[in-house]
Amino acid sequence: MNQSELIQLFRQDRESAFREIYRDAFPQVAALIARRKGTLEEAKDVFHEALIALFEKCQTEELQIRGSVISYVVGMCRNQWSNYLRKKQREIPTDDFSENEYEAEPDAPERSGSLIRYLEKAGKKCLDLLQAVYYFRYNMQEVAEEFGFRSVRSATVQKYKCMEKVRNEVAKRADETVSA
Amino acid sequence: MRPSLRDIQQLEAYLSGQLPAEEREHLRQRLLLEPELYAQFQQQKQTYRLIRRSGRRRLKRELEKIHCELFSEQAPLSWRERILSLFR
Repeated sequence: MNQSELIQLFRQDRESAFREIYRDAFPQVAALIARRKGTLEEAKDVFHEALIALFEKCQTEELQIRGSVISYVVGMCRNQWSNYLRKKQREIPTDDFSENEYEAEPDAPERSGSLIRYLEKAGKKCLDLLQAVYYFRYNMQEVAEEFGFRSVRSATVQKYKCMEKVRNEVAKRADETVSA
Repeated sequence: MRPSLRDIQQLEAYLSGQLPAEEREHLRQRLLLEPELYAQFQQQKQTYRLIRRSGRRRLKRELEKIHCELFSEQAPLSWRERILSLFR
């Protein structure tokens, strides 16, 4: 699989794309991590993070894979694992982010974690729509079809309504944190 | 669209650098003068990050599922066996 095949497949059927990469690349990644004294669980974590980073790079068109996607993914995992070991052993901050480094998340994961879990239950429809737009980068035409809106315009209005709803939830939580 | 939604639209265009110069300047002025709008602006940025985190969670779930499926395949020398033998 090369880059353009990957991009195509991600657009058509994300799950098949992941499955294909998984089947071919994970045995290599597992072998690599096992040789370097990692566990199966760690191999899986590193691999999942690499695939998510790969997916995000595809979405933002930052990807430049010259050879095969499988080797690229294995390379990402190799770098990730080296960085992880370095941090684990010495606990020194590593600023030498290589090109393949998975971008760290700036905000506090615990607090937003509970909000996400809340939204996954109480605001699923809005969360799905916002994910489709901002994370999976559907265009508004696709969003309208997928979510059953009669027009691009009504899908767009709904997008902003959902943004408002979730944003108000974010604000509410922030107030609670301050007053607690 | 009602004004509050238009603000969201404007802030989004501002953040993605798609607002024409004149409107950009106007919005900047408003952000300075209207604390409430400024707070909403910050919350909106947080919301985009939140959406990204939730998207990642969704992908993680999909990957876990694929992992389990591949691990449960029953072939003579299965995928599972190949992996597990590495960690023995």
